[in-house]
Amino acid sequence: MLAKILSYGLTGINGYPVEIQLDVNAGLPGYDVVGLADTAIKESKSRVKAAIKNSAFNYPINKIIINLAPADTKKEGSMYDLPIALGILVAEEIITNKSLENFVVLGELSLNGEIRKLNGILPMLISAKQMGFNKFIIPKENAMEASFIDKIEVYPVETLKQVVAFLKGEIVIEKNDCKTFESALKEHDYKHDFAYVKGQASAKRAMEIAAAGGHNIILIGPPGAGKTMLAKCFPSILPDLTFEESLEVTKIHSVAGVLDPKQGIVVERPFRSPHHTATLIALTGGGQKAKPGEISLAHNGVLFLDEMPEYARNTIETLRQPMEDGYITVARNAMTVQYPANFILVASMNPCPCGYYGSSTNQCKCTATAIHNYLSKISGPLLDRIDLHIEVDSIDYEELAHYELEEPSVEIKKRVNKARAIQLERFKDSKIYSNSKMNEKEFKKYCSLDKECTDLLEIAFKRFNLTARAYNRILKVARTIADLDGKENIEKKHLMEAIQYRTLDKKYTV
Amino acid sequence: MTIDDRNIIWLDLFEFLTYQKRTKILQVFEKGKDIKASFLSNKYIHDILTDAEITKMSNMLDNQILDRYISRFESDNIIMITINDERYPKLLREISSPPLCLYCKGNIQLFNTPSIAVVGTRRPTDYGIVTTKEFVKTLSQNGVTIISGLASGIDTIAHKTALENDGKTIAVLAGGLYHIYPAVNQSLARKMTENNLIISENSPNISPLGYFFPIRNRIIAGLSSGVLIPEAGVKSGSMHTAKYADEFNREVFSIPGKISSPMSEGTNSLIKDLKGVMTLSPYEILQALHIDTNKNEKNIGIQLDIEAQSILNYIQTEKKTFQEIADYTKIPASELNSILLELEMNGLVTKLANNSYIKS
Repeated sequence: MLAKILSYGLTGINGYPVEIQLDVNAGLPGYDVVGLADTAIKESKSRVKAAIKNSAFNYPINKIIINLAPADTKKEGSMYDLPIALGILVAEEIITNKSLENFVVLGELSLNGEIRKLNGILPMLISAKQMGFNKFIIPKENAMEASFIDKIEVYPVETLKQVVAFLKGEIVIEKNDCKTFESALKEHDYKHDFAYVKGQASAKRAMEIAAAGGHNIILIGPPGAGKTMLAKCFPSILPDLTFEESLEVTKIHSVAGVLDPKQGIVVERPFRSPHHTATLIALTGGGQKAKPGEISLAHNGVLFLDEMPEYARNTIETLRQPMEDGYITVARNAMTVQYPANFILVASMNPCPCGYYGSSTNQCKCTATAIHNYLSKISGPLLDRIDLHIEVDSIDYEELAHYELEEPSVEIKKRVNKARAIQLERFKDSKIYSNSKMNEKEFKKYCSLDKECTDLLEIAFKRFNLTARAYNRILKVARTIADLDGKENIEKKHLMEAIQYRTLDKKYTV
Repeated sequence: MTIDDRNIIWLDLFEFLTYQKRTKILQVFEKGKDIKASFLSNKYIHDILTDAEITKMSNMLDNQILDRYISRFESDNIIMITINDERYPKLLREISSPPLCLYCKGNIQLFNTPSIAVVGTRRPTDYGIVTTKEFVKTLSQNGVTIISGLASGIDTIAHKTALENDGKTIAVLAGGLYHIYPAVNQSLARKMTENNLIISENSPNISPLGYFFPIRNRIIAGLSSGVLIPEAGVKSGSMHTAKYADEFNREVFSIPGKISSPMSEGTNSLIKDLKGVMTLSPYEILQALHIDTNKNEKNIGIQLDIEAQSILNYIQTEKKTFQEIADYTKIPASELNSILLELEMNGLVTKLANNSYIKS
């Protein structure tokens, strides 16, 4: 007897339909899976058998052949347990194949017949919806995640027995409620707030600009100056995620299995801070299953690299291409997948190996060559992609001792949201969300300068020996500063402030 | 190129020949004759050189080898000026051990200009950086050529400031011209070969060894009319240069510093021991050199607003961090950034490491 059940598979963050064809016929008892299945699928044999028996159904003492079509694509994961089990029950004539028509079935079985949660439900459902499927049976634990997709019927299930009863029409399963993104948003209580960061006016201002325009930023300063503290406060002033951005992030987090099942969707911009021992693969993604790396998990959020020169050189150099393109292509034996990787890079570093170059409190003990070598660990091309360079001063005692609170993050965030709203309006027809991602055409259109500013820029270039690459960066930052100021055109003061943030382009060491 | 010139250049090829050995060799051979031709037959040569040295040198007796070297140097635009050459700097000829040959790259006309050597510590403090810049700027604008050693720190600042102010500058290297040291200054050296000058007494192929540096310092002192030391520790190359300058009757201009600063110990002790003149302004140096001060010094007639003026007053004497300026003036960070940039672009303030500023 032949059974056909629809299910879904994933390459990267895109899904594709998988048809599970199952045939039970006479012969020695056996269980064959064909169609390039991985070990997890082959092991489904034991889970399916135990789950069926423990749900008080009959397991056939016959030859079972399972084909996962299309047969030439590698499949992986445990989501085919449930459809296979249902296929066997169809073959055993416990349920009819007709009752499963139009359903896409996904779920992992445990030995007692319970259905366990899966990774990657959201991207699979989104692409299934685009393909025209609209009825789904999924694990109950993933229900929250699925509830943010509208115009589909989702039946969350808990046990195999329940599914069978549902398909036989014996019970009714409530359709999953559809939720709006706004309902998921809540007031965040950030652990770190700029209100508690003393002084650092220059760095705070730069972070405000970075948040508003999505610019990359590097903080340079002696140990104990508060670089890490500043970076940790950064998420508290980031603009709110839009629904589209949130879906992009959720897809990746879902595939990687780091999604909070209770939340179901990512509502905060991710803040990823991989340790400096992180390998290249951990950062870019890969491994046998071509999983997303830290830079993709930081999509639409922040990638924080503390003590950047401590990272392996080749590891941070790989950031160059994704920083430019906003995605990374991970090619592996099994598959080649593309993950979005559109993040704000926040990096921190000391000005020299001992950390005290230029410090007013401690004497630096490094030779000029040592300082040069330390700074050159971060290559020119990478530095060119970082728009804002900020020197963080160490704080003296007087500053620490007065107890007044500084401007809270909420206030800064209001300004950031306002500036971001201007940008979203500006780029509503293109696929970008912030000034930092402008392409050449948009750059020409939105970053034009008047005569006074052009002259000023020319003088600054000569005086500070700026590179040609710095030109675009300065203008994009100036655009953001003008947005924060609520001005239509870039003015002289905006431009001058933007130039001030290119410290490392000027001669940093003597 | 005369036979004598070729003799000197040939001797320079061997890095194991010290200055003393080279002069001795030149003495035992007849002037105007090729040393190579009678090298092995000379009876005094064994008194000066070891057998190993003689063997090494005898491998290079072929005239073609020397020709190849010379044409390579010439094709690299290296000018060889031996002590017999009339282009040889006059001041340098006066010293007790003048280099036998100067390998030059750049504008050799600079030898005939009034010059001051500016040397100092490789790890200057902010005070040293600012004073060096200020002194070199004024000296350059008044047509004084700045001579230094291309080392990091004060030397580099001196060269760079001279270039920035369209002044003239000469770098005296310890190693040969093919071996720029420190390597970070490669691009600076390349830039200096355009209109300025880099020189060395060593053949271009010779890489610098530790003991070359103090010997090189005699050329820095010898080439210049005076030596300015903005900042130097007690045991430093700059103190060597000062000693040579004293020996050669050159004036030593020493800028006083804090008694607590280790980087001013050398300059302060020079003043205390009456080895150097305490110098408070670059105009004192110009006066000592009998140079009329250039009256058309760029006078920046910029109208400053009150905010900018108050910042300038605040950072007049001491460097202040961005945060300190912000706290003092109560100007928001966004505006302060652009005001400071404007001041910096007008050359009124200097930005130092760690986001701090001082009036320049």
